[in-house]
Amino acid sequence: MDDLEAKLREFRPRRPATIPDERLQLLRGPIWVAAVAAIAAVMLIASWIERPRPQPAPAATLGALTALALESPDQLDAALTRMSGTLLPDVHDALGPARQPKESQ
Amino acid sequence: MDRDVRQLYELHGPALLAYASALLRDPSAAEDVLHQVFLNVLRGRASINGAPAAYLFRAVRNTALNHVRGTSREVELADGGVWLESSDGSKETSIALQSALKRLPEEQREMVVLKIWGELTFEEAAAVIGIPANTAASRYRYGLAKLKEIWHG
Repeated sequence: MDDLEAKLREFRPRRPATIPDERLQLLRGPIWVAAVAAIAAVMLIASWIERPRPQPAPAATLGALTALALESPDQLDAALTRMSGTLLPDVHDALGPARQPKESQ
Repeated sequence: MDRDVRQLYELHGPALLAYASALLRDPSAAEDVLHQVFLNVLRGRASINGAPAAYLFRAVRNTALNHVRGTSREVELADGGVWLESSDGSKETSIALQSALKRLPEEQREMVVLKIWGELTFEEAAAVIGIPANTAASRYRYGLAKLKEIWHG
């Protein structure tokens, strides 16, 4: 029996990890909540900044377009492009005017 | 106070971890139990009365048993990691001994760990468990005899 005891004593119990810092333990909950809130806030701000601003469409009147062409001819093309998005049918839409007719069997 | 508690952790931590591992058979849960006991002392939720070693072994035992009650059987029996290290550093030897210890009845395993690695007397170990000293001694002897049969270290 003594031999067995001596043999067992050759084994040493593993040293445990250090005690987690008690202040960190106490703060663990609030730290996680604050970190998650900060990440959420950053993501919200980033998405808000990157959101495309709707361009004010110019009044679609002949007079307004004539005035724009005379005063700022370089902006006329951009204004027409913006207007076409709201006034003309979407040719890329699957149900739009440019859709392919189904082939008959 | 803080430094005293940390010194106790340095001194008794390995044996307490071995004891909790023997009770829970899961070293990572055992480490959690050990930290819980020491954090309770550090936060002033528990105070050490009497001999520190006896108090700490008793606290680890109570916390481990509470942990077992709150855990499912499957998790409780999960095998994990080495909690005894052999002098030659062989992991296989350590695991062979841990497996042999695992095959002992719980009360015998507990006594072997308290006596061999906790270095408690029969009286001290009996006080930790709450049994008479002669019962502790006989559990230890039966445990060693059975270990001799099943462990070929």
